[in-house]
Amino acid sequence: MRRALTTLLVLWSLTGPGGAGAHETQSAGAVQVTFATDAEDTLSTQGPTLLRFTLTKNGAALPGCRCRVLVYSGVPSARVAPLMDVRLEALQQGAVSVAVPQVAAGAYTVVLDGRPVTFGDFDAFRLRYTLAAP
Amino acid sequence: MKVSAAALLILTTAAAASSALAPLPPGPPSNPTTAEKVALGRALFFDPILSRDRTVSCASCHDPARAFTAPQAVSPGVQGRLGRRNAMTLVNVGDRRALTWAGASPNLEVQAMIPLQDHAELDMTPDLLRERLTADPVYAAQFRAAFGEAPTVQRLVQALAAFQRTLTSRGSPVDRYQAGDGAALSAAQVRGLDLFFDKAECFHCHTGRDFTDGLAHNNAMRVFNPDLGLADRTEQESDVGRFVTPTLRNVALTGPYLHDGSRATLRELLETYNDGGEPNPNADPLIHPLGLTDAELDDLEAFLHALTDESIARNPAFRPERP
Repeated sequence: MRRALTTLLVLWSLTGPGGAGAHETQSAGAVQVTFATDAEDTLSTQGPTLLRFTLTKNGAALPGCRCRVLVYSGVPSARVAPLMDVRLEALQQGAVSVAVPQVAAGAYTVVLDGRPVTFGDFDAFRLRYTLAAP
Repeated sequence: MKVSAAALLILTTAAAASSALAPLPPGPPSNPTTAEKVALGRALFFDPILSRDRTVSCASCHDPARAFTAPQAVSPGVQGRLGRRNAMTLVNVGDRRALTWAGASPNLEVQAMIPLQDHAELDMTPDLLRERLTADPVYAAQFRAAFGEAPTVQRLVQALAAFQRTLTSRGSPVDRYQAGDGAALSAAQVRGLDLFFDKAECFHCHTGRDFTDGLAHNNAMRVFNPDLGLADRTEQESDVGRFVTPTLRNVALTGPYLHDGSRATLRELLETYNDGGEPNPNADPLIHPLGLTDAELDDLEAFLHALTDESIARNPAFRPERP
């Protein structure tokens, strides 16, 4: 049920309106990831928030990536399950969008885990983003 | 071929170093091994008298035919209650410095007290153990022969520990290969040996003559760890999900795998490692995608099968004296 909900949200996010807020770019080896939300770099307490990751390698769209987005309440801990864990293996890369359901006010961490479909295309990476839900 | 020579050198060096540092223990000074203690421990190990409802013995979860493990992910104890973790092999357990998945016991004597008293395992009390064993004239005589005194819980765990220290295995094809028998391994197993010490990077944790570093790692097999592992004892966030590296000796016989028995087969386990594990916040940095091909996974699996010592299941000393 939970997976079905998150899948639905992912599909919605790919077809729904964009409108990213402020951007943050991080590098992981040869991969650059620009991250944005449609709620001014926050998570919304009023409705779903769209997270968008743009992935490039040497300026070009990243080749096949098995991406996974995890959202934690607070700091990620191995003790507790993430609030959301979405595998995006079947989706084309270059841009990854995920919708996070409405959350309660607080601090959250988004983790983007990326692995190459073809080994050697790029090194696996894991990036963290801290977000507030004011 | 060049790599296999290097791998053999690593194997030999590890064995020599390990032998020099930790020769097969005759037992600690507080519990030197004797034939009488081993005989008593052996009888007790296979006897359900040590469980509250007399239905479960140590061997129920540590079956010699499976290198002293059980086929279930977690084993049923008295009244079918399920334990928390997969039954670990007892082969060469006398050489282990960290016992149990969380390294919770410093020695076999202390470790034995855990399953004896665990509600989901044997569910006994010290008083009940002493009463039962004292009331049994055969055991009472064996305790006197081994220790010169009537049964006590302390003597009970010493006898069990003495028996477990005899559960040694150094007769696998890999041992014979290491000793110079080049025909002991197939071509696929030699390729797997090379992968083990090179591309697959297994050797980082599975090192030494028993293929374990004795340390606790979070091997990223789960996204999160409801079983805290080492953190049960340390209460450190960084220790959550860390479990002691198990020996790989006889690993083909010891499935299902991992502390929770969540991987049914060696292949399933290898594929998870090959994929780089799960994005666990405490994942050991050694875990990453390996890029092993299907053929390489075949070879690696073949090598792991070469760690099986077939004599364990046949060794009469590892079975009950009276079936």
